Amino acid sequence: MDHYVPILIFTLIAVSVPIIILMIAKVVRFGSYDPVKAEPYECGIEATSFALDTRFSIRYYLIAVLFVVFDVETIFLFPWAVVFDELALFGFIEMMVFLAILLVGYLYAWRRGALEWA
Amino acid sequence: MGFLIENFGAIFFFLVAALTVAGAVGVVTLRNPVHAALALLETFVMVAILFILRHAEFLAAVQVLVYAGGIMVLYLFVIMLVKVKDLRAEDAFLLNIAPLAVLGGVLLGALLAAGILLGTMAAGDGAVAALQTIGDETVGNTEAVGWLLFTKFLVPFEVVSVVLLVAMIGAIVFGRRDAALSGPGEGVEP
Amino acid sequence: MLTPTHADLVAIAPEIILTITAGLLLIVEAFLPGLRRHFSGLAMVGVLAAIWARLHFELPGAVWAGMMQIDELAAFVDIYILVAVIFTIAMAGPFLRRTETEVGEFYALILLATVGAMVMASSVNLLPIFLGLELLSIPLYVLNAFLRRSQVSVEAGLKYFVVGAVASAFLVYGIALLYGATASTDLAVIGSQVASSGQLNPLVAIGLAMIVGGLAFKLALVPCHAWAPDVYQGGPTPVTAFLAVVPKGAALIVLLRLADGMDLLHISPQWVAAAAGIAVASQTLGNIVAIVQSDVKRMLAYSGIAHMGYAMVAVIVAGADGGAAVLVYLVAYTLMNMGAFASIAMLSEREDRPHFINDLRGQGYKRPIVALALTTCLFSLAGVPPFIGFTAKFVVFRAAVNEGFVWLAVIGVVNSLVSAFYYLRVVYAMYMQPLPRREPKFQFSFQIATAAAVAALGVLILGIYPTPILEAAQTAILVLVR
Repeated sequence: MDHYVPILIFTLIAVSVPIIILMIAKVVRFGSYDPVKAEPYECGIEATSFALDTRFSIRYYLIAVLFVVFDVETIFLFPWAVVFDELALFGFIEMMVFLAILLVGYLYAWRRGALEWA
Repeated sequence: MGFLIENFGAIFFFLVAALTVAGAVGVVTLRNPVHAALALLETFVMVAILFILRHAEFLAAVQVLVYAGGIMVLYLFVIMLVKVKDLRAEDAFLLNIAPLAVLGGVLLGALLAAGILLGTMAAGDGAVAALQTIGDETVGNTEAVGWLLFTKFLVPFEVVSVVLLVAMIGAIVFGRRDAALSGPGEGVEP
Repeated sequence: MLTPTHADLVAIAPEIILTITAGLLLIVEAFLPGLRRHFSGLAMVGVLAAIWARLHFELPGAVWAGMMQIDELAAFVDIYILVAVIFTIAMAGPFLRRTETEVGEFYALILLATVGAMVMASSVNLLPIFLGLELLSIPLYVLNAFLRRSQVSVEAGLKYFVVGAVASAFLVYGIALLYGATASTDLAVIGSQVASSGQLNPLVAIGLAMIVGGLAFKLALVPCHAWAPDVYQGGPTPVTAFLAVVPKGAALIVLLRLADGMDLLHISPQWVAAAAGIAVASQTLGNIVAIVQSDVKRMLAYSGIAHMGYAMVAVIVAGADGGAAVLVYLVAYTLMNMGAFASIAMLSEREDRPHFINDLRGQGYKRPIVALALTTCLFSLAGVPPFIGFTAKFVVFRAAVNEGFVWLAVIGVVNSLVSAFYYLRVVYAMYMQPLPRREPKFQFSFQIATAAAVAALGVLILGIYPTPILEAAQTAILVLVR
């Protein structure tokens, strides 16, 4: 477990830095409240609606699912790469079969327009 | 202080475990779905730390990359697909059965805890053996996972790719808007 | 280092063929959508090729490092699943054209779900079993909601998804606990460890209970049955037929492997008590609630619950007798349901409206062939000789009596008598009542009528001459109990 001590220290520092900065800001700033300050920031333009009042397009969902699917696929490439040398040709074929199956899905998604936004 | 240092591992585990449970409770109790999703994110990260504590580094990486990364984005998008403001408060019916649901959950939890405790006491070797197969503790287990995955568990591995393919098709079937699927079908009302 | 041998590859040739066909369907759908009307033919060719491959190649036994067991049992189950798929596809073609939803995805998803069922039924390791179950379930979530403009269909998909996700969670937790107790996911290792210890330790018991719970959702056994009526009613009828038969078959085989491997009948009176309770409750509740249904598909859902209760009796008995009885029951159940659902797919006006029994009034003379097929299947479901439903129930109850479960057999027989009432109500409506004044507009389809007629003929012929099925089932089960 010793390997993780630096990571633990890193995490602690990373978490504490913003907390400390916010604390300092709280101490030094003027305490005036204005409702405009609490509004969401949209590039300086006045916000037309709140996030929870709107509905996203179903396209976001499609993109997210495709992202998850290919994300998982990438995850499987990682242990494969680690043992690639020992697996030799057979391991290569295995992974190609795996990728070919997903390639079918990719071609299908592409032709179905799942990757287009319009 | 000496106690803290000696039992650092155990204390750390219980801290992380408590945070995991707290996150999970937050998922079901927080009113704002976005807050619930953030609580879920916290749960995912804590589970990843639990995996690391068990030397399952690969799983921890998967947990962070897939769950805290991909699945979380998916959840947030799905939350934004519905107009959250329009969600009704729970029906009286649901509130009435809430105590029963809590009771059921507690009972199930107690049953599981008792079973696991008694079971590990009864068959200590089995439980230990299951943990020992995790592999080399110092270098992480990615190599062991890879080796098993691409030799012994080859068929399940290829099945996984088909499962992923199916998930992809399913999402596209629901998401697409061309005439073939949403045309004015016979007897099918909008 | 494992290098796949020739035996490894030919052992899963049917699965490979189906996967390739599904991929081909997707590619053609994406690039040449003009060929849509040939899709059902292409899917059918794939299934027939898979059957050929399963019959042609020799059965090697354990393959893929002991993950799968391709033997006579696997062959029996595979063929039974594939035949069910043939009926599904035969029904689906005209049905999809009628609802204007004929796209390649439908067939691709059906074929991939079939691969999942076959992997599940022929695996002897809990990991591929779980993955097979997922591969079987995910397409069905989508397929149930395939008529997206129909609210009942979407509701069916959603309900099946929520329930299915809970069931998967149960199953995977159970697998984890069994692994924790035995340090193995191999059914043979788990089985021999548990059987030799002579009792269920609490960890194994809870793991097993969660696995059985997860599978009970798929089997729609009481108390995990509540989804069945809504999903049956709302889903597209060909999908309902598939759903009623294929997942249940695969789940029963897994249950049988578990029960037999651990020798639960002899080491665990708790298992016998719990499983018998589930069986009796499923039969009784299914049959009694079916009586008050006015929708044929809902009625068949409750009938399915009751039938899985009968099959559960055979699982409890296990061993050579019980195992063979499970297989015979599955074949009978498949043929009867496929015939019934094919008939109903045709005797339906609008997919988003209930399929009322009242709408079938007078159809016996209006559409004699389909009505006769439906009548045959309903008689068989009720367990009337000489149909195969009688044979199957007889085999199950005989196995129960031989093992000393006379009371289970008696309850089963009483339940069968109760069930005759609601099956015959449909027959009564078709033959004894006049056509309603506003005659429902059913569209005739030669293909669906043929499917219904073939299933009904199978029900009749195998009912009169059941020897081939009985012998095949006995040979198949010998591999398991050896």
